[in-house]
Amino acid sequence: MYGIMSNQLASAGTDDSPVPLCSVLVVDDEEEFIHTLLKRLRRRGLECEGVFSGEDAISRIRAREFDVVLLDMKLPDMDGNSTLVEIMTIRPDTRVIILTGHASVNEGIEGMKNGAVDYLMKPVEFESLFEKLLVAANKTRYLKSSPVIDTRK
Amino acid sequence: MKIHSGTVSLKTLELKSSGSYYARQKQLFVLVVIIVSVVPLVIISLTASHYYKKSWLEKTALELSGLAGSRKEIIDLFLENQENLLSGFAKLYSLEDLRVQGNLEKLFRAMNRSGVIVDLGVIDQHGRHLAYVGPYKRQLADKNYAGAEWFAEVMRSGRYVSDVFSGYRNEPHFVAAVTDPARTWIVRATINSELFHSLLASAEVGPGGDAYIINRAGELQTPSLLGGGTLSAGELAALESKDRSSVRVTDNYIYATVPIKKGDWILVLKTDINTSLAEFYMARKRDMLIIAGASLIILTVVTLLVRSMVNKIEEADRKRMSLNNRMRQVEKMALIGRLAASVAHEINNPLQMISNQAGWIDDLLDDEDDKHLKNYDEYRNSTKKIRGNVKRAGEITHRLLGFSRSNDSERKEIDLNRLVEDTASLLANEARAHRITLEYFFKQGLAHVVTDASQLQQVFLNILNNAIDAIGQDGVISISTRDNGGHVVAEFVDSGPGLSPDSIKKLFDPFYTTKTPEKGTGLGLSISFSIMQRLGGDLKAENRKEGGSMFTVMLPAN
Repeated sequence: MYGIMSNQLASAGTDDSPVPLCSVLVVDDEEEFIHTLLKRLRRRGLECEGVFSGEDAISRIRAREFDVVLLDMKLPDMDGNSTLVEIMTIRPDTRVIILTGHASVNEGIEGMKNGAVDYLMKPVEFESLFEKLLVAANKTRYLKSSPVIDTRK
Repeated sequence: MKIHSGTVSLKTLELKSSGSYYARQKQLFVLVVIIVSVVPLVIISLTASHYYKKSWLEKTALELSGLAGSRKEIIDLFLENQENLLSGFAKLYSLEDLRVQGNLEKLFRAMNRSGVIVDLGVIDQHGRHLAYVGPYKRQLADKNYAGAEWFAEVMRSGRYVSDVFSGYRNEPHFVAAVTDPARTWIVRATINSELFHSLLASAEVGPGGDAYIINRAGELQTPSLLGGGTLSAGELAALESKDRSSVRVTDNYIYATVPIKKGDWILVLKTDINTSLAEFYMARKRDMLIIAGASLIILTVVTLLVRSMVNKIEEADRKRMSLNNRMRQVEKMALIGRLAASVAHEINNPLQMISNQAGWIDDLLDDEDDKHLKNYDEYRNSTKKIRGNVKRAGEITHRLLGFSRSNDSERKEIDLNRLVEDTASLLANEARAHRITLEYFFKQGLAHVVTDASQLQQVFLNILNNAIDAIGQDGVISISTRDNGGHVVAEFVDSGPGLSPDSIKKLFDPFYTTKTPEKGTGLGLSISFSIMQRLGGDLKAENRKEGGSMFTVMLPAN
């Protein structure tokens, strides 16, 4: 499944395909994590940006629209949930997936209440993360009546 | 906090190791109460008894002394009377009158109304009998008294009263003799000393008492009332001070002595202490019995009280200790939970990074031509293994994080019997493989429980897995449920070897395991314990007397 999907998506993400599958904003305090993740997501044709703090995340959200936000709950400047609330206030349609090394179920539930669509715990396998990103993005697009991809296959 | 709980556990060990501690406490309490209650009672009683006896003796001695005084007066008066009578004759009559037998007989009859005078004689200054009235006329007719001691004495001092002697007559008697004023003749009377006997017999000295008269040589002048002919050396020693009135208390007797007959004789009254104290001894015996009875009652009551008191203390101590132990366990779990959570979190991020990097290599390998890359398959294999191990490590950290997960998780009403059975059925195959029988003893109509079913299921699974591992092959796991006050209880009993003392202590500690590293992480029961704490219930493990171990899961009923 991985092989098929990656091949298909890899071709969709190459430079000769100008339309990205979807746009993702990755918010995490670990630079290295973001770098690798972005490389892998771009390789699969996603248009993505990475920021290291809640403030940056909010300013990026203000600046433009993203289909999905991948949000770490532990940020250097503000806590994940307030960042989440802020994002949802600015752009209620944004799909937010929480990805955290933290164990607190409470925090997860809090996040879901605040509008997050999913809650993932590190370490998460890239394949399942990628799938969840696509599902979420698809829903965002669907809300806007312009679905771009069918992940049901 | 750490130090405090350490101290508690030390104390616990100490108390448990010395099982005789409470027995010693009991003994100590009883001893103290006896010392402060019974001992004073006995001391008071003994002191009172001592002084009572002393005063009793003093009183008896005083009475005896008084009695002796009054007897002395009577006897002295009697002797004086006899003397005066005779001296009256000597003054009233002339020798010529008295030497006439008829006159003397008349006189004898007149003065002998009382019958105390045995005979009467008139003796001249040479000791010859001039006249005699009495029963021994024949024997005494020719008697010459010139050599007799009494004769010399009477001629010298004018009057004389002898000691008691048997004389020619073999009857105790004494002689009173008086001269005329010119000392030319003597009137002499023999007086029956039986009179003294009756006089003394009338002295009430009580049973075991005695009354007698002795002379200065210690010879009895009257028979002892008790019939003794002579006095023992011990008795004489007791009568040492013969010169004046005295009272002497020996071990067994009280002696009251008083000199009579101008000090020639001594009147002795003797009373038996034991006899006279009989009443006192009786009273004392009664007192002793009462005190003994009271002491016995005190002893019994105190023993019972102390026993129940110390038992209560022991019970309270035990409860406190077990509570302390559980508190420590809970504290420990909380601490470990926080530690585990932070460690897991710190590890999760690097794990994610490792996973990502391995994935990136995979992505890049997609671009490579596997024909040209010599070790293409090895790279693929390696990244796969890296990701596999990251997954494994992730599972451990996720389980560790289970400690600190608080439980706003889903709570709903559950049927405990159903949940237990469902959980057990998950392991039915494994149990069958080990030839282990599962038995259910479900109480129907259990109280309702609202709780997190999946977490509870995890607890049951952990317990059942342990039970299967403990039994190994061939055995029984019996599961029962019941209501217990405000709790619903599920008990899991296995027929395994039971828990070692070490296991019982560390059972719920994280990473404590008796299994091989492949089979167990040592987290199952500690996580179960913290789950039960979070659910407001409890988890306990113990060995059963019948063998095997029993795990008890308690949940508050709603």
